[in-house]
Amino acid sequence: MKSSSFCLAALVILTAVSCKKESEEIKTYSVAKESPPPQAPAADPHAGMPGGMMPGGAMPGAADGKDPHAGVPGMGGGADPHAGLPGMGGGAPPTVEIKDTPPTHWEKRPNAGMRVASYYVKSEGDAAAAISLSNLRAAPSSKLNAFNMWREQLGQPVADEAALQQLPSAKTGFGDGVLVDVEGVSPSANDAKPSRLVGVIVEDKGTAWYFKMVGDAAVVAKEREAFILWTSTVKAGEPSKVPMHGTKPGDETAAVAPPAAAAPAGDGSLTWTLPTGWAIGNGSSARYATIAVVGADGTKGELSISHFPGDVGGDLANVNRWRQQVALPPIDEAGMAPLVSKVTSGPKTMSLIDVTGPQTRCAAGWARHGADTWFFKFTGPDALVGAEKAKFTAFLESVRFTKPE
Amino acid sequence: MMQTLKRLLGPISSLRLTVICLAAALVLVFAGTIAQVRFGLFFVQEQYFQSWVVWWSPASGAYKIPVFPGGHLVGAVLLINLIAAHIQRFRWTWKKFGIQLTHLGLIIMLAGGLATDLFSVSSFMRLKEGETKNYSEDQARVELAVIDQTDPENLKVTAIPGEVISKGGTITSGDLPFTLAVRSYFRNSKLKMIGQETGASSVPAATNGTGQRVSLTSAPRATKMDERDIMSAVVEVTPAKGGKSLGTWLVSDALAVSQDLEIDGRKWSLQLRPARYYKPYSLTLKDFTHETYPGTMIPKNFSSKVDLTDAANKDTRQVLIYMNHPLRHMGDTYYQSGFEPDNSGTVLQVVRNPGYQAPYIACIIVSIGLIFQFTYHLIGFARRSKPTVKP
Repeated sequence: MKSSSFCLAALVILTAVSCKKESEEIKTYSVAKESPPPQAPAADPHAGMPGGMMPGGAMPGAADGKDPHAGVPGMGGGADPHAGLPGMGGGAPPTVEIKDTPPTHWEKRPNAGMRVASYYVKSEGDAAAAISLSNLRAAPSSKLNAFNMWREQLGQPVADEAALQQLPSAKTGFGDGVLVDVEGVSPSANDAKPSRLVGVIVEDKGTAWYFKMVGDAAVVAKEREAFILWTSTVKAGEPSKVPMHGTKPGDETAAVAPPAAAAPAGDGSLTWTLPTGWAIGNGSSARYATIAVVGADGTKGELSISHFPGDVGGDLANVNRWRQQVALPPIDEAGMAPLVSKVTSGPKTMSLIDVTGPQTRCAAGWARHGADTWFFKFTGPDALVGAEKAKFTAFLESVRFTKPE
Repeated sequence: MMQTLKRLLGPISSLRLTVICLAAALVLVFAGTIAQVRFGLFFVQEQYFQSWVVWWSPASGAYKIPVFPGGHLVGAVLLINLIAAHIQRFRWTWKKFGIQLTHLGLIIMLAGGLATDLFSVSSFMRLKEGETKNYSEDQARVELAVIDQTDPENLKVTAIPGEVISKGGTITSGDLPFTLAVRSYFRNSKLKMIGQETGASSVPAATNGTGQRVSLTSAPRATKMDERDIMSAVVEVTPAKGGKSLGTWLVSDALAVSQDLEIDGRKWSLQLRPARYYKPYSLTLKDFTHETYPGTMIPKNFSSKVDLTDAANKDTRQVLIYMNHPLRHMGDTYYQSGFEPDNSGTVLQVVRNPGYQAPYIACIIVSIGLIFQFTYHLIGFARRSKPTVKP
């Protein structure tokens, strides 16, 4: 017993003397690249481009966040090297809602950028394909340019007008179009897995429609017939009334505009008009809604809408919390007053502040309604928030509370 | 031999030393509690309880003098005192068995406390719904992550602890084709956008990256509970094989994103971030729920439904983490700690404490010891007081 006690004492003392809690060693290790959270839509070269300013070369039908080709330029993950190529389209057409009948096993995805429909279909393992529908104003070379961009994406050489003329036709809800079917390997892909792209290009009343399915070759082959059948079910609905930037406070045009193109994720307490290029995202259950904003260069931002009982600590506490989130020091009441502006949303007046930190910018609007304070927080890189600020203000002006106070 | 040992153990096993240690612990806890008002919890923990000596220094900070034994010293002396007493007074008799057992329990309790203080690691995992992570982050420690981004599949990370940066000098690693010379370092700092903040210095902190648009100044250590230090440093990058300096970069805990640089055709990034602890398994947040009492901001319930994926151990399950119901896996315990300010995700506290069972074991042993001791004496008393029958 005595010897065991000695051992115990020696062990404890040795441990106390020799151990070192904080390692000061430089360590090197490898980790897999992180994929973004699923609610963040992939970069879409169309997103954020104001109507009438589309350079005419943006790639139609970019894939969404789970596109197996995400990260491949021009296919949804990065900046589109084709952007700026002349002659593809004459600008963004009016945003429309579509009516379609997709196969039941296709998973609906939020629309980003110029997309008016997005789906995702998955097979065994990681094999998947992304389906989308985009539209642009038709231009003389729309079909040939889109055909060649899709070919380039899968490493195929540029085709001429004669090759385009030989493409089979496909019946869509907008009339007969040309059916493109390309197989290959993306030059930018990380692996040599065969990919396939099936698309239909059709022009109707000055608008070019781009149906596109791209992904794992086996999945695309399996879904090809369903895709072609789907293109025939698509019909255009009524154009959305999107408020113009700079809508005057209290402008009744905004007040009578229908609610968002996509319904908010909450319980119907709010209606709003969703700016062009913005898309409802998959928000947290603790939020009322999340809206994904993607810039022209692929940078991502997010508008979160939430509400809490009471004043949540008061305006100063909230402003300082947002300042802290963008790495700015707190300010006092006197410092905050000149930074807060007012936005009129129908009968309601919202407060608005814009704080820019070294890396992140946050524009936030808030208003009391009944016992709650509602927060509309738009966060993202400085350039993105700056470029989309007018849309954000227009969005706030379009917000209406449907329930009495 | 044993007599010599006992003579040596005499002073350190004395009851007087036990009383002195307990009194010192009492004073230390009292002084530390009062000091928290001024200096905050984390600073007091570090200076009073996780130290060998409590130091005092004047406001100028020109010198410091020891004024009281710290928590580690008091605990260590008490532990040695108990062990010495245990050795010296040990008698293998049933009469003393309960006391010996109680002493053993106390020794395990103290040793467990010391092990917890020395080896336990507390970190946090922040998850948004749908997000998967296989690492947690230590809010109390930072690391400079120098990341080779060239491989499209994997990142090669060289993690330089903040403690190494705080020492200054030139940092080299066989895995890096360049050296990092620490040009300035601040334990706590303020960053201001040049030209956008009133009174901001117009001197850029660095010649490359974000530092070109930001000024950097020192700030006093954060002492309040809702504050934390923002560590910043300016590092100069120079190719290891020699040659011209590539300039300086500002790295700061306040900069949420990494800064890129390209050297010899390879893409690198720099980011000062909370130290990461990678796990051989991953967690995916499926759903986060935050309920408050009606009309108030007081949390009623918040819980996180997570998918645990441990491919190596073929362990895949869904777990609901909520108050008093942590997830335990491979020595890590995940507690529901909080949520993001905008309710966009959950914050789980991850505690790795190899000595967490010591208090339970110690309490059981002490209980058995005390029950045995009291029962033994009760039986003895009952026997002695039993009336004898006279013939």
